[in-house]
Amino acid sequence: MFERYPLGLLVILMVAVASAAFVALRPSADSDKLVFWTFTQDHQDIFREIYGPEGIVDVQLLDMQAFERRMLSGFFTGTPVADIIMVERSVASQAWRGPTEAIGFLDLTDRLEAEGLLDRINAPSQRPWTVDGRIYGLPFDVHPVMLAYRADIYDAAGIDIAQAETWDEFMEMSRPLIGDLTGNGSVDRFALEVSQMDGLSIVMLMQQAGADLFDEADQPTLNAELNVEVLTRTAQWFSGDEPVAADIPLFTGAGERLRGEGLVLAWMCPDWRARRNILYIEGLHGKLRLMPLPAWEKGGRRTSVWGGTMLGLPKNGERTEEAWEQILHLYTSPELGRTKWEKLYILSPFKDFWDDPVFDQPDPYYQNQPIGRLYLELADSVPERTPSVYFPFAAQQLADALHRTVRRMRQSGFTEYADIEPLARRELDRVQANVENLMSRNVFQ
Amino acid sequence: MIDRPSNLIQLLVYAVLAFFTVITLVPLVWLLVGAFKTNEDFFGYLFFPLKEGGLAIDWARLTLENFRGLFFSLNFGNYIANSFFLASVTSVLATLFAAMGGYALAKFQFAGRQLMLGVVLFAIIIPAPLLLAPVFQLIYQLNLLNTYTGLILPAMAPAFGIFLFRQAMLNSVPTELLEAARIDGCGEGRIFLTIVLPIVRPMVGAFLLITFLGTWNNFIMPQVLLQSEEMFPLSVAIAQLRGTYSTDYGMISAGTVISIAPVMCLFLLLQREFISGLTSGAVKG
Amino acid sequence: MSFFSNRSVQVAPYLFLAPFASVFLVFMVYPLFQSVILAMEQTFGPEHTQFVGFANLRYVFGDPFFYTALRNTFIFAAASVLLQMPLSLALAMLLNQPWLKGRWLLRLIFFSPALVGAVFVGVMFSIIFERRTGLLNVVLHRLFGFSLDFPWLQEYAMPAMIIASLWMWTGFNMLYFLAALQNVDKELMEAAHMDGAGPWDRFLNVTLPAIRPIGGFVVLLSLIGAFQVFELPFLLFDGPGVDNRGLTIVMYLYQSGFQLGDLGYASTIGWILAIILIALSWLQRRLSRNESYS
Repeated sequence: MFERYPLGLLVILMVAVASAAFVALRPSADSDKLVFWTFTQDHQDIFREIYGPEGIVDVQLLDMQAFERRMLSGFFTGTPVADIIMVERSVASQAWRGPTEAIGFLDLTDRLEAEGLLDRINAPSQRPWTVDGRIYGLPFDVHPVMLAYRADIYDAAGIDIAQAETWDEFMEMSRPLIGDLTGNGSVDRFALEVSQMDGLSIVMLMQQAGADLFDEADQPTLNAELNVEVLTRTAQWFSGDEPVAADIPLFTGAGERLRGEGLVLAWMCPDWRARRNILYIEGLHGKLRLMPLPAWEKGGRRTSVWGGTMLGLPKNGERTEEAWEQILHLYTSPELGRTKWEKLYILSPFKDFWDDPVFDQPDPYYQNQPIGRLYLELADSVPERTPSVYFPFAAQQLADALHRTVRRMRQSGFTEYADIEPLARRELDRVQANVENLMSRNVFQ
Repeated sequence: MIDRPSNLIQLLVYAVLAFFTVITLVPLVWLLVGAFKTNEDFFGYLFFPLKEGGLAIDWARLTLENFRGLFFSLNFGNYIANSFFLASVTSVLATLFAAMGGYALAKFQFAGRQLMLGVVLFAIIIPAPLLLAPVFQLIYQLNLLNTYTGLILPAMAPAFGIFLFRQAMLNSVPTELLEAARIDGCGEGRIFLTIVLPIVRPMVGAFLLITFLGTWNNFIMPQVLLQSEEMFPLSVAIAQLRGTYSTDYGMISAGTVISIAPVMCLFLLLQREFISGLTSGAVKG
Repeated sequence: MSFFSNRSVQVAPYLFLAPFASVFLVFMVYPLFQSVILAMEQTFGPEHTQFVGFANLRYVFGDPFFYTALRNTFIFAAASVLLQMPLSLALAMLLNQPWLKGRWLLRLIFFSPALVGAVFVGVMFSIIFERRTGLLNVVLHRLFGFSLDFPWLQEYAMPAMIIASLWMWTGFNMLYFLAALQNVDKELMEAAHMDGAGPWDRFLNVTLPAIRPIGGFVVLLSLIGAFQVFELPFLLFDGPGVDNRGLTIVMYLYQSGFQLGDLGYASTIGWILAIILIALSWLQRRLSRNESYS
């Protein structure tokens, strides 16, 4: 019969039979384990190490976009989600877009109260997971931001950059070191990394200045005066023939490569990123130092906040009690609080852990600075993070606003604050209108 | 006969074609080489890592580490099996049902024939993205989310295939032959399998491959309908890999190579069949 | 017509069509009705729905992101098809030279990118197009001294998308044109040659009319494909890209329906896309019909 039918049919039939047998016969995933979703490779590595291959928890790694879609899809439709969901705030907040009864996370408020945990948690760490006074997640972090800078280069030039108290001073002092060093016609060293692709950079700068993107009632305040000022001054860093800021990818291999090669002298570095530097930019061992962020004005806030993660449980989970025990353990055990710092460089939001000597250990990668302590010193001034479901949208819009302001500024050849400000204001008005427009559409809230 | 053009023009044509060949192949070669490089060498060398100072390729620096990581710690073997399963089962079913439908419309007179023909043409016009949201809802209501059934069922009888098979069978399958077989007492099913299908053999081969390729490369449906990681096909897995291992370009390249290589091999094997079937359908249609 | 009395012959066509008919009813007719209802609802997943009437339609016409998606999609479709068609045809004509050696191999090579799914092309080109480190910028820099910092994935997202789609589809369309070129009447071509018609005249008056029917089909097919582009930019820019330069209609539909869970708004967008595509098909039919009369 074979010559009657195409060879392709034969091949594909064989493939179908073989793969069907494989798919049908393969052992199903370990069903006795608690499934734990996380979104970064580092987290997965560490939790796998903590639990070991025989442990009760199976730690799975999901890409952010897939995470968001699968989490929501699971909440919407009852298809399987993890027993423990470790989730970034931009994704978590999507769960409260709909009606309150549709929030897929378990309301943890009463449990937290019963365990007496509420007072122990650093208050700003709790806000992103609080909706209408109810708490849907355990905060994982504090995430103060410092500035990581190339101490080797500044030292060699005899510049004590740690003395820079404001961004203006920082840029001024860095000026002699940047520009077209190789003479190939394009700038190959910048002072600071500021992403125009990812909203996180500009949001961090705005929050540092004290502008909240959403007010207490979670209404957008994106075109507030302070935001206009920050956007204008940030755009200004990209102006002229020798801009001081560079837009490089934050999380890709190319981005790490460029930081390692010295394209920028400094970048904003929350606690978790201090570990990413060590992991992905081995070449800078002993060459980086950390300092508090230069303030916008003298005496202003020297830190900001970047990121935020919670541990949540699905409302319809089948093994809620076991999972609750696990996350409680992850949180309240001082040992794990310590491990979290040692392995992940993430400060625990539990204030009673903060005295632990583990935070005072010198870190050889950062020229033996006790970086845990340095971050902790800033923990009290970390700005609050909004729980608004529109935050991720607003953040992306702000990145676009920065990008557009910079582009139009460069097209017009502007370098002066007074010239750029109207551009920035217009963009922020647009962002505000877009967010309001989107919010007005939601009939569930 | 038109004369052969001058050598100069011939040379020029070859040069242009060579240029396009290079453009076509360079990304693929670059990807393939990248899959065997460490992350350090990925940025250090555009293509092969070279020996110190010389121009010779330093083969020793190439590594299988990326593939090892994909298969041993990331379960890529599983994703490959899933892709093969989905693509092969979908393409066999779709080809069978499309051929059946095309045969009915091409070679039978029956009440409602014109209506069915209209229905097929209508179904071709409806763009797939329009159905994405309602089909998701339907699959949810049928309790088929996160199952392969939910993915395969809607793709099982493509209208486009019915149309192609009808066009192919209209003139190539002689009605007298069918009548003769019927007089001999052949059942309709047997006639279809033993007489009709072999006649449109190129179309069968081509359509199998078209649907195989389409399913293999389909991203949006499995992305939306599947939930459990162990069920993902390569297309969904690679998007995931890109997000989670965003710093490891060697690994990403290796994952992409693994995803592309099987279909490439399959098509090298079957390319004549595919290309002739593909274009014959279009030319007749 | 004696065999028509045979029962099995009467039943057979219905049985042969049964799989298609049932799939069509369940997975097309029902969802189509459903999508009309959905388009008048706002949903949060399939369970939580709220009737909003024409609010979705009103919103979509004032939605700046929808307009961005629409504009991007139109530009992409127009540019990629306008560039693709002449290029594909030119390649096909070069390959069609009778004296050419290695035609089989070249055809295979040019066609091979079409085998690579848009997802994989997106991943691959997202690295190729990177600033400073990407293959394209490095090669252009070394060969021609272009800037290493050319922002393909930022300001030039649209050209990047178009280039990637050219790489994918030029060879594929070339196949159709190659098949079409077999329809060119060789005698007519020789007669034109005898009459002293130049290559350009021969192309316009002999080749082009012969390949016109298939040409129209290929243009329509490419346009329909281009209007539904999603995976390529989605993976290329890891989302809609800077300033939504890579946002397309289907990407916006996907974001609305499956990232925000609003299946209702997704259906509204789907209907607009469907109307555009049906209008395009109609236009193409009209045009080709007019031509055959003239």
